[in-house]
Amino acid sequence: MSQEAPAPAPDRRRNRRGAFPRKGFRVFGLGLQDFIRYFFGGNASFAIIVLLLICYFLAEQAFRFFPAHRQGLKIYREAGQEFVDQIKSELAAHSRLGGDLNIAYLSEVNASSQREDNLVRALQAVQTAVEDRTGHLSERLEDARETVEDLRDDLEDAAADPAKTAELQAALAQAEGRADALAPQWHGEAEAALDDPDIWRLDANPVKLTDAERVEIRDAVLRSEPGLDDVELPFFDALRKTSADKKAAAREGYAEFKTHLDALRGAARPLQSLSGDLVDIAAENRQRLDKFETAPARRRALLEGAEATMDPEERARKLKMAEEVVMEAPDYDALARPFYDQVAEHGKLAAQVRAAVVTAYEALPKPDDPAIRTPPGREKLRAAAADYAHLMETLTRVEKTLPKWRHDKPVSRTRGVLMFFAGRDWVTNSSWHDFYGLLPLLTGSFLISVLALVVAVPFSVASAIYVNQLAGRREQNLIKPAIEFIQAIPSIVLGFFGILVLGSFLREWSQGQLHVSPHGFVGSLPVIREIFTGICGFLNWVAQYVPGFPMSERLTMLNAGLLLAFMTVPTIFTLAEDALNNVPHSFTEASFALGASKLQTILRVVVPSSLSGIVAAVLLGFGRIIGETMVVLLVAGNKIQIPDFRAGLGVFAQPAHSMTGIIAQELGEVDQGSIHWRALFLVGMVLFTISLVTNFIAQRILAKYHVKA
Amino acid sequence: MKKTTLILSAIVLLGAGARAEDKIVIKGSDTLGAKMVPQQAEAYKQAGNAVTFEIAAEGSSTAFTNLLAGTADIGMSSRDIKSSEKDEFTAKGMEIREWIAGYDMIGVIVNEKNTVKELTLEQVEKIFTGEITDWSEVGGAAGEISVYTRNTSSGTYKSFQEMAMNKRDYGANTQKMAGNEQIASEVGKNANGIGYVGLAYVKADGIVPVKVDGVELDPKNSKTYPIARTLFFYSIKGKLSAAAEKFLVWATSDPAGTEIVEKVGFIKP
Amino acid sequence: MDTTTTDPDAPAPRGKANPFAARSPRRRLIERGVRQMLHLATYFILLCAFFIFGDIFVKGAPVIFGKQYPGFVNTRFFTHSPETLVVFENPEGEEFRLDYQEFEAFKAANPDFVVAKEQRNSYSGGGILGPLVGTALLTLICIVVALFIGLAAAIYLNEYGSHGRFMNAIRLAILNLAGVPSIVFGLFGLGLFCLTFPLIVGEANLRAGAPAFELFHSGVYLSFQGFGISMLAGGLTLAVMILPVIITACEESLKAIPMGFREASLALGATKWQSIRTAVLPYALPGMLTASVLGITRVAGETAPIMFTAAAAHKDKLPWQEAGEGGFLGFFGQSVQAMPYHIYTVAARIPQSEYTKPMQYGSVFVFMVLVMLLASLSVYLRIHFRGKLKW
Repeated sequence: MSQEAPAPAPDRRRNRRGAFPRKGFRVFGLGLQDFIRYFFGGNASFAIIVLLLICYFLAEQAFRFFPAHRQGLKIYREAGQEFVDQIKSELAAHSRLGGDLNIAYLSEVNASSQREDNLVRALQAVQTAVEDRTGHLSERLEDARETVEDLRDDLEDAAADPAKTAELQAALAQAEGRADALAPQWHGEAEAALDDPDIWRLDANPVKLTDAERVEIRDAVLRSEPGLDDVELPFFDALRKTSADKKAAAREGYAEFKTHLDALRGAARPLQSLSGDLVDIAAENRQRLDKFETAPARRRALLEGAEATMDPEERARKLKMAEEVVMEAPDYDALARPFYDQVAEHGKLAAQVRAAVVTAYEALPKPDDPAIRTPPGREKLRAAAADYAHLMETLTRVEKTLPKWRHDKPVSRTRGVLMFFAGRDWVTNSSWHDFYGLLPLLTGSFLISVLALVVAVPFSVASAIYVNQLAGRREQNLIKPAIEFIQAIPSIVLGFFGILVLGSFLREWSQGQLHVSPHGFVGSLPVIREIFTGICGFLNWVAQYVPGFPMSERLTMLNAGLLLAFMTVPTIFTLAEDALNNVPHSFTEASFALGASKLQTILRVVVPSSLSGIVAAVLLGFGRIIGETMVVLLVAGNKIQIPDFRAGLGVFAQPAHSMTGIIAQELGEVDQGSIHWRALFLVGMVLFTISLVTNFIAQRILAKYHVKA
Repeated sequence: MKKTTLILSAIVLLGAGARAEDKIVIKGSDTLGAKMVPQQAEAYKQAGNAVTFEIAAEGSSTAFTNLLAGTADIGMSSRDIKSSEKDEFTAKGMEIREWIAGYDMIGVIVNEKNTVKELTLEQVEKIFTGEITDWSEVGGAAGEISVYTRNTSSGTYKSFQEMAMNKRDYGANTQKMAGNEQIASEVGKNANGIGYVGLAYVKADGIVPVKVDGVELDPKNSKTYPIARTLFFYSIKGKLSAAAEKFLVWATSDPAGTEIVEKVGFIKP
Repeated sequence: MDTTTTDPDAPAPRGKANPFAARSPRRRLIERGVRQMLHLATYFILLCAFFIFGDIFVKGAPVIFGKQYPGFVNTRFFTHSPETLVVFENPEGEEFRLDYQEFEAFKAANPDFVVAKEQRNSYSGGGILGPLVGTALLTLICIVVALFIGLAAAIYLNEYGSHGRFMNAIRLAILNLAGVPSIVFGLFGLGLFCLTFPLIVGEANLRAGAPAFELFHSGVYLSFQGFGISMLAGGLTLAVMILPVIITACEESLKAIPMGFREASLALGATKWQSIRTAVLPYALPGMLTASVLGITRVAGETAPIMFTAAAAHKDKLPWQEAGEGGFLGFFGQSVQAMPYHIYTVAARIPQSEYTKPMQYGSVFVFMVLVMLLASLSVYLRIHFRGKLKW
């Protein structure tokens, strides 16, 4: 890449005369020129040094994670927590099954009175909205009414004291006057609010109100003035009653379902109590073992402290504390004894659970049962079928592994490494045991990156083709700087935008609630408002067919992915445009000469011959996305869980955490040199490796498949 | 390829930075550090004390890490010190001193549109451990529960775990938020959201605290409400500067200092 | 739109031998459709950008610009640091918003005033002076260091270096460095600059736990203790991060200078360095200027590298107000507020309400305007000098 430097004069070390006379100066046979050269060379090698230093600092902390992690796992095993966690996994599987079945049951029962319940909820929603709108006034009215109440109470108490009574009566009259003056004002505002169609927009509530119901709601809202207790609303009281009756009837219809459900859920109770006992024992063991680990250091510090103090009393106290530090190793076998004792008991209880669950589950309706009428009910029953299989699997597995569990089995090195790279839990600052598993973070990062690429690549490559091949000079001069400007937007600003604007937009859209507010800027322009309303209607219709919609979260992978896609467009665009630019003119000319049209030339000649450059551009874009921090930290939702892939493409509507995000979120808060701190450096190391590999591959592709003229 | 050897010299800088005498560095809990302590600091300066403050509120654990590293004069924590943390201080030859900053109740909050206004402690535990995943299971309209919790270094995270969740771990479906304010604002925007915040934050828009075991979240119920805790300042014996000690005494016992505790919604020590 | 000289749509002779010959009307329609799609994709990106800019400008500008003369520019926003915003009412329900200090002064001035419904919003009052100053200082440190090293490296690469293993290693390192995620630089900066950088300090300033060696029994130590969380650490971290960009940009500008300049100078008997100094660097200056503006634009918006190395969410005073007697390290050894971190704080730590929105959008607006000005400056400089310097 560098130009050929002019060949240095062969006699450059000899003194010459000329326009620039040379001064002689030599150390160790090196002249000034050599020093200058080495100075620049030294600076150039900074890039290498920095890269090596990064490797060193990451690796230094990161690799010290593994021994500490292994030690942690050893204690986890010795304390018996590993044993208990196996039982807990059975219980968790059982509780998930019970939970899904219960939701299905409730969905069926509640469906019977859906209309009534939705109406009551609609009333509440409208009421809340009106209260928001009239916020100021309603608070003051409420205050005034409360004052009146208080004064009345005081008046009753002070009945014996005529002077006070008179005083209170005056105050009361004044307060009543204020309340009476405020009430009509409030009515006015509330009525104005109720006339606004926006108030009647009921988030995610599918109820369609009839005119009569609207009137009822309106009336009820106006009657329940702020500060008035026990307003009678006969229409809604009747609704509530109907709802309760219908539910009771429905419950009767599903009585059998309920019986089996209860049997299933209750089956694990003995196992739960066993687990509870063992949890306590294991937690105590753990504390004991942790204390033992730190004992020598504590003792040393106390002795040193005693040495250093002059005060004899203080010294005696410290010495005594040092004495009290328990140094001898705990009896590991004794600590583990209770667990071995309970293996048989656990086997018995687990068998009971299995038997009870199998009986109950067989008796329960299956998803395709005609008695199950609601879609969520069916869906949950389908989920329950999976839960059931999982529970059976877990029971079988634990039944096998538990008797083989040994508290003193050494933790192998590979296990320590595997628990990090293939670990499914990242649980820190726990009262039980800290798990450092990379998998949830890695999946989060990758899913977000994939989404961002899928969105960004078509747009950026398309616009690169357009700008490079189709656009006129003037258009190029407009678009290229504009895209450069996009590159200059700091990521934190995009994150901010994601939280405040995009998140709410996506959620509203997903719920089919997009609308043009009549109070905003757009709403005030008649024609444009119609256009926007049309667009919103269309988008709302589209939302029904988008997987994962409706979503209740604002901060999701979708949100983060879209922002990152936007952010990475300039990167891919610029590189892809470069690649297109590098296609030799002779190629296009040859194509035209054969009679190909412009578009044929582009799609069959230009793009294929610059494909390597485009692929490299995409890879570099990927490197940029996966290393991006602020957007994912702010917008991705920070849920440390492997996303539920059963949702298909809808998986992107879930929140997730990422590798970059976890470092940014947790590094500032942990103890230097602690295992958690090192785990974060290790995550950084993984990131660093990924980016290096991506970069390397991209460079190789560029070097290898570069088309030369 | 002539002489590509490098001359590398470590850059060494002369450091003489001494910390100015009257600067008080306070680090730790977001519960204390986002509202109460900055306002106490502002009031303390108004009262004519010539000191400056540096306050960072990243979570209670950071109180202890910073005290240990010597990067803070005062630690603020919304939970008491763990025995393992105490051991670390002992292992470095330091002894910790505890000051009570006030009392707090943790409110379980839901969206104001949610019809569930009351939960039992057991239900709270099950929701936060991920056993209950749908609002219909606790009597609300069907909808998947979105659980918002604090980040793991937070004292609220820990206290809540101890007081409301039987020390069990949070479910993997919980979302970790940076501060009380952020939880309040997320729950306020998500009709299916639930979260917890300190007493001082329950007045935010769009959220309502639920009754827990039938007890309403109100300072006057501080004895009966099941999720209440003590807030602390921590310092290291023998290492506390006079200025910092004066501030601590003022903040924990002077009426002007404790008045602020109430004003931000906690309960006086 | 079509700039090529050939007319691609001219009827071509049909024949089986020609794979591109078929051009039915349907075909033309498809062509036009594809063309329109490419067109739309391009403008959709611009539309998104327009929307984001528009949203921030529409909501942010009113915070800075008032409608009438005395409040035409909200100067307070630029002369104060972030504070707590107190919102309260008088008994008549009139609402007031005051920054904490104003509020205290107001209460002192009107002791009879009954404050009702007082609520406080942290970080929402005051202005953004502190973060602006902090970002300026961080950027300054970063650009001074990065430009120095970057330029020297570029001179080596372009003027001295010959092809070889060393040069290849450097180029590879630069390419790879450019791809390292910013958060990894944050980790690196924390590890090196904050925690282990060697310093010469007196006994009083030793950090406990850091390895230290006494020099010649003088009471002065060489201690590997780092700068702590400080401007210096942050600025250096940013400098390392921006290095590849600066090196590449400087090298480009050196490359653009014709060989003849150097050759003429060498022919006059100048040494290598003399010819670089007098015949190359002066002409590369504009290019380097552009490079540094580009660097500032990139660096000013970075959050991840300064999160653990330099930034503080809340500081009472500006750096020079509390530097004290610390000297060089005392000044640059302080943590600072910085714009991106401030935006992170107001975006993630505080809720969105009508009281916090002015601060949120105001900060983002000012920051965007600054960054955009810098970006346009770099575009302008590039075009300006490209037109001016021609050989």
